[in-house]
Amino acid sequence: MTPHTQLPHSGEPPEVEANLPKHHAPLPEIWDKDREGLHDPEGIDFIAVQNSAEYRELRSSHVRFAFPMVIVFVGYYFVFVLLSTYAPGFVGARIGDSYIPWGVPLGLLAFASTWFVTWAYVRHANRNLDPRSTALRERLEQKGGAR
Amino acid sequence: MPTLSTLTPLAVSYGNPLINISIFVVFVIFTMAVVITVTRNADKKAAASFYTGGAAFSGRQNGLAITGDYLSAAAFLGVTGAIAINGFDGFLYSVGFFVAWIIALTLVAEPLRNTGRYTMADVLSFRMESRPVRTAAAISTLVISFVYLLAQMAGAGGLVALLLGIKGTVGQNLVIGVVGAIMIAYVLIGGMKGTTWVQMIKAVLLVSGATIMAIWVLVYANFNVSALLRDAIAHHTGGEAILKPGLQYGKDWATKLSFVSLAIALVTGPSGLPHVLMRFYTVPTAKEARRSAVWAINLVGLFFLVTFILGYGAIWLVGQNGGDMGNTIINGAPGKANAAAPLLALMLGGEIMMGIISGVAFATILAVVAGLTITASASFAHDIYNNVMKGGNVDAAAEVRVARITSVIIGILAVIGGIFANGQNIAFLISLAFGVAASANLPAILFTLYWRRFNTRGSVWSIYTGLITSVVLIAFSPAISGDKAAFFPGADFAWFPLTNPTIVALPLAFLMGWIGTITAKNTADKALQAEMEVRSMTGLGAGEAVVH
Repeated sequence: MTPHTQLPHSGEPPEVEANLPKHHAPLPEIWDKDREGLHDPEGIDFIAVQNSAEYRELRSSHVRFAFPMVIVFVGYYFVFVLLSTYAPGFVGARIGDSYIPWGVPLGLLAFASTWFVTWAYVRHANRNLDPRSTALRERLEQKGGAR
Repeated sequence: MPTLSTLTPLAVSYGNPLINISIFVVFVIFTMAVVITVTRNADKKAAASFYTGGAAFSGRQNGLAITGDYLSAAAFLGVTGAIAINGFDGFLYSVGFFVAWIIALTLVAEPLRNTGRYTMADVLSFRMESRPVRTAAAISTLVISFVYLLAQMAGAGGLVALLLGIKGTVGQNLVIGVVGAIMIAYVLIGGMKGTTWVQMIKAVLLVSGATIMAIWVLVYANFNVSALLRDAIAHHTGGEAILKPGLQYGKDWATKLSFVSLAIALVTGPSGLPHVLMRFYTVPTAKEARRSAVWAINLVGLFFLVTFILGYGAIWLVGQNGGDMGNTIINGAPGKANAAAPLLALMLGGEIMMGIISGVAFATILAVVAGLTITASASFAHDIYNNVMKGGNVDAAAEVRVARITSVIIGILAVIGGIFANGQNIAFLISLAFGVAASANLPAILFTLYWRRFNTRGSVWSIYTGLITSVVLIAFSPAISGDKAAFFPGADFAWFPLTNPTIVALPLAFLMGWIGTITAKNTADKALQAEMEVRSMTGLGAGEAVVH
């Protein structure tokens, strides 16, 4: 594949490894804006895009989902940590007659919450983010004359 | 330098060195063979390299590679050992290492993927003045990779010493040197591409090996976790204290605050680790980046879940079969806490099981070390040598030469550091690397992606503040001197009371990023900011998304 910022259809991918020693795994091909000066290859007015309603909807849909999720569930983790640190008597207390301390279900809840966030995020992204971002990207590619 | 405890007469031998070493050698040869094969095939196929041809990796493959990168020796040997020695405090590592993925998945993975760059420095300098930001990001990459390497080397030394039954300090240091030499050879021969395949194979072996061991322990305990904990209590000098938090960190206000600081590092660090972030660039689309994160989350979660069983199981079974308290035996073994998992394997399945598990652990270390070394040397060769020192005028061949020399130097430095770190719990050492990664990188990454006004000065101030503060605070902490468990137990130049710097360094890095931004005369480049943001949300211009 071409380096990401080259024009998408500017011919064959460059032989980036041609001058490397044989059998040496290649180093990353890194596009560098200082060297190529191609920052806006598709002629898109990104500021206008950024201000468009379509984009702002997409952006806020992501941000409004992600940040509260992080705050709530990473927040729970810190509640767990602070309880463990400053209320060890409670976290270390056994559940009933068993030898299992309350800290175990509390910790497992943190595991469960991480898996829940993962599930919820994937669902949100598939339903709400992907259709919007794909539509916007396709529109921009056409507008930008990429084809 | 920590000296090995020789107070306890050892009731167990550590397996049969001959069997251990044979299985171990088989593993080294096997991984080498994988590396050489993969590298050769790749050369034949095309110039579509691992980096530029990221599309070659599916979300699942990449998820396995991320899992491999993330589950280093610290996770397997270190966390198991931390639970075996410190009980519940060790379990808190497991939880933190896993919860960290919430931030990586929702805030970092896809936007980073979509800005379509390869190194962290490339992302951070996208919309800033390239040179100062690139320099700062490359330096922080180098420092973090080095601290991370140190932990892996310490783990390798302890592990091989355990396998060979070497208890003397000089012998162990020699082992670390030899291990370092093998690793440098491995990096030079295999390179990054081979490493990635080893990471995938190793991730499967490690997660399944740990799961099998945990099920095995549960079978012995008749699937009664309560009985398992009861028996663990009976075989630990701490008794019931292993079920309560605080065995390690509950001593006084400073250790408690150290623990909170550690927790912050664990949960924020992974989103700032250069060699993990890099893996989000190796898939064709944001959707695949998401898929690989989900794969990694499932495997990593399963793994850390079973470390709980492994840790307490090690106390019980090592103690019961060794005729002494489990933690006493583990602490007396070469590698100390890091020996818990191999010793548990010995108790479960005898010498062969111990050899296999140690082989998996060593493959883990090899792959992670190789990946780290290459991440660091590529960052030096490309970002610092080529772009900053030579103004970007160096051809690829010269860059590769510099990268190779750098990887040898980094390898030697890691060996020296590993000798000093020998005997330290590697989960603890890794937590220091997490602290530096969180403080130096995460504020800059989050600001770059989510704060429009963030600018060059803010980036530079944030990265250097986080980096310098965390490193300096570690240097003058009880982790380095003034404590019997420190790197230099004989010296005492510690004035910072906490063993983890993150609770101070991370907020300070956010603060300086903000102050730097609002005081700068050169404000953010609006057009570039808009471009980066739109790209980060849509994947425009990144990889396959635009190639039909």
